[in-house]
Amino acid sequence: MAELEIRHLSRRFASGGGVSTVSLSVDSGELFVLVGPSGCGKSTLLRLIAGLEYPDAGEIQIGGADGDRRELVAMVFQNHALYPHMSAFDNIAFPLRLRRTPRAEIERRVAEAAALAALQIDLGRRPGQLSGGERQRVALARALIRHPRVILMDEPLSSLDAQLRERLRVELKEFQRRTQRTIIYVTHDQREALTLGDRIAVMRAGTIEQVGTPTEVYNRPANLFVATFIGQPPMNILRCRVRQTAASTTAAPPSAEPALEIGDKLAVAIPFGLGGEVLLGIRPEDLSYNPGSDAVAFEASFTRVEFVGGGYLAYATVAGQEITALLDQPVEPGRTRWLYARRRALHFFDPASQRRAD
Amino acid sequence: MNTPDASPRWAAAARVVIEAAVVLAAAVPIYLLIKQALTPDLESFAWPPHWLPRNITAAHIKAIFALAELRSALLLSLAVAAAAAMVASALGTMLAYAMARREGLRRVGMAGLTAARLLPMIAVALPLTIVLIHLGLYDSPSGLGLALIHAALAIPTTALTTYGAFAAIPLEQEEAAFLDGASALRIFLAVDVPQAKLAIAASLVLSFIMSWDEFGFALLIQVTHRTMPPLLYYYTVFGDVGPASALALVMLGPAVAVIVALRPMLKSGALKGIQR
Repeated sequence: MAELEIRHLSRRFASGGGVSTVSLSVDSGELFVLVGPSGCGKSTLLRLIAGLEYPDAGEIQIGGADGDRRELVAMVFQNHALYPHMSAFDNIAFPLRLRRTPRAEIERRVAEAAALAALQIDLGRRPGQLSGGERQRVALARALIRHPRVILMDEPLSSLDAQLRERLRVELKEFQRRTQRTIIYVTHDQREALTLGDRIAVMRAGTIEQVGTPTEVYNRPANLFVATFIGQPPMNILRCRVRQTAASTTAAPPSAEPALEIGDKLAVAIPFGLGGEVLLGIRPEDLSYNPGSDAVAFEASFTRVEFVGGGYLAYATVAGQEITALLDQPVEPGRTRWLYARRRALHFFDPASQRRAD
Repeated sequence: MNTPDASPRWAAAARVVIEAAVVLAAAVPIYLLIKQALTPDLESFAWPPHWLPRNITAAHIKAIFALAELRSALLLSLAVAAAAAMVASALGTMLAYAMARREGLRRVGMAGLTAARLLPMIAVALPLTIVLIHLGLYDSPSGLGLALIHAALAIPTTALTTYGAFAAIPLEQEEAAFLDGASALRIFLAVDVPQAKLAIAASLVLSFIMSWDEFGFALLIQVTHRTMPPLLYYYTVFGDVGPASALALVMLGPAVAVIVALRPMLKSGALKGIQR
């Protein structure tokens, strides 16, 4: 059942940016991630949901009701946005004090919210005396205390150092699983999106490129942008020419040397009809030295190899085009070896529309 | 010896000389004022001048404190300055906040405040006096008319002093307060004003001193119910040098006290806001 419905939402700014005709549906108890490069409109979309911005067109419905948005949502900001002149307790209690809640109840609910946020500090302290992680917990407690239907998070972890970020990310996922809150989370980090989200929406230039589970988006990217944005290192994209043979249509990178066409190792049967060029996508982690079964071979001339802790990032050229491969063994630069990728791991894109071709 | 930081000997000596000259230039008039207040008039006019006091007397001080008008003038100056400071700070703070949050208003506001500062007071003195007469606030015992004029004169100062403090508060805090359910006024009072405390205090002090020292309008408007500056002027012109100097010292007192109290604020840079 949908907790949040967005229909044809648009908001354009004079200075550029914004969102165009975005439609979305978020289920109750879901951790939904909006991910995309800077300026793609994800923060704008979040602010529209929060009610900090008004749409030019379209509508937002939360819980099927049309009440005061502020009663239904709460937000955790990137820079925590705590009130520096108030203690942590007063920060968390602020929403309740505005509503003239009696003192005893304030104390009870602040304690409750602090426990939910795993806050273990002296609440009399001010934000300036807390660490980055503690501040974000206070911000989270302040958001939770009103029991909102939807919690909005705008890159809450990006101002923290990498280790802390990892830890809090895990905690957040656990927290969401435990409490079954509906959370909409904005990030520019595709890895964070993949690890956190129940479903993710990849955005670019104000529109949603694809919505799906992390597995779906990773394994079947809907277009070239999603394919290269999700996954690090990014997916390799090779330009290939489609050649008709008697048996089937095959694709091969142009200017391939005769040696590459030995047998039909490079020829890949494409189960669809296409003329001209096609874009072939292979993730660096899907390339390996081992043929395995049902694999396609590429002759790669290696130019550079970097050790990346747990593997090697190899730069090579295949038929004149540059690719990267994540391999478990190094190789000498200058050498030429065969790399293999399973047929299942190949992605095909139409160069004109940049959409997935199968 | 020729490191970039080490200054040559003559530069250090020159610095000492210049600093001494500046201190002297500020201190000597004050010293003379104190000397004139505590020595007989004949001595103050002696030629060649006596740099050191020969006869200390308390006569002048006794004379001015016997003045009935001194007490009422002091109280009036105090009342006018306090009222002007509070009104100017309240209005100037709200203006500064609005300017800090709206780009369009900031441009218009800065232009307007600068123009207000550049306006020659002489040009508006007479029309303002006429307005006050019509309102019945001319030469009022409470000094209300003068307080309002002083408040208007001080608003550019209070607004510019507090503007920087408000501009420095991140918008996100106000957005968070909005989402928590606060009204615009509540946001201003609960989130912004506490963080601009120092600048607001500085603006109160500055506008107080501006009003306390103000002479032109006070002379024009408060003719019978006088504040301290016109009273001092009268005694300087028509009275004797001794009592006039003693009066000047009485006027200086609160100003010096305020500036001494202000020093920690100056050090913390709260007054930097004036630059914007």
